[in-house]
Amino acid sequence: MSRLTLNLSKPKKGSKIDPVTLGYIRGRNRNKMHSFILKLLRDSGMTKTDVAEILGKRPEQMTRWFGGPGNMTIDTISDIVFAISGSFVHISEDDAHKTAPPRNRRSRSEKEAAAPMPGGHVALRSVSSTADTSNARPTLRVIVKPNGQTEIATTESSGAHRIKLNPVTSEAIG
Amino acid sequence: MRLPTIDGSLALHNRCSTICFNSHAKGDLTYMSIESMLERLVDEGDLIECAPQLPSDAWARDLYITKVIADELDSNGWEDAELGYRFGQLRSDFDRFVVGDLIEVALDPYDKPKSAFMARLGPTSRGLWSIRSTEPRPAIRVLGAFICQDTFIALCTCLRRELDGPNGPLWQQAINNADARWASLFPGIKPLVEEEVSRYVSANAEPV
Repeated sequence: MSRLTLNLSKPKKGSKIDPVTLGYIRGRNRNKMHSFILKLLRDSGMTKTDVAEILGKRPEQMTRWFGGPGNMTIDTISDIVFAISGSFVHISEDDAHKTAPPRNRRSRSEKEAAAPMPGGHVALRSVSSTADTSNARPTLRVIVKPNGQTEIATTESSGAHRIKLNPVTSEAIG
Repeated sequence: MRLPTIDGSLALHNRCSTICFNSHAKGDLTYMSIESMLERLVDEGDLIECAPQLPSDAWARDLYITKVIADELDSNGWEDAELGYRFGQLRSDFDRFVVGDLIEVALDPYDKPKSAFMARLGPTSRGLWSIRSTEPRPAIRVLGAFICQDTFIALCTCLRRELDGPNGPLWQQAINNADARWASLFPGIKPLVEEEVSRYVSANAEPV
């Protein structure tokens, strides 16, 4: 074995998903969401104390929320995203899908040059809370496509953020 | 090319392609790139490369695990569903590093927030780190070291509940075990030791 690969199973109707797959998928989504929130905070220039103040929470609460992916609920994420970016989350479907290419061993330069593949997704989408677009309010999109691929993207006046969440393809899950 | 025997490590870690010196059984030193050395260890089965589990993910950092850890993660033969679930999550933590997600990195072994994904272990001169897989319980610590920037070698795992305080004997034993595994994999080469997070992880790493 030269590469570590879990045997993830594809969900099937009437068949219970195995715990390894479930553990991996849950962990992956949680980690992605945690990294996304940390990045949103970092890029905003705000501190956790600033967010606490906006939400009327104690700083210790922020420490817990930001302290690990397991401490975040949908409500938590909603609060944090809104406090930082003024955006809210909207769920929509997107049938767009592209198949990821097979992966072979690559050199570092090839890895760096490789761009993440967009995937089919269902997704959450964050829509600006104001109709006034003159201030270029940031927006957040979390797209989870029917094939299980998920992606988060935000746009801000300072630039765009795009974070892929748990992109699962039939190649990865057999 | 053969060089006279030199005591101590001569590894230069800034880039994996940098030439380093590797001691051989006869006491001579030869040089090879760290990348070549890693490829050899993978070919010989001593290390296993942790590529992104999902083909569509980016591959931004390198993580190699020892065979011992790979055996723990091998889902074949798992009958304990809880264990399988936990190791599925540990694998996702490995991917968090490999795909280049934003991570929080603590240089101070004794003063770090709970959110730190990676933390240096004391004494810091040994260059050992832990990946802190905190959720769900039981928390797992993956001890390892950077051989160069963005390339981490995971040496062994421990359940956090089976370790004591940072300077306790159980922690020290775990650190010594990791140290010994490093020495057997990379004789004559010391782990990367730097004082800035960016020297360990080039991008998307927040010092905490």
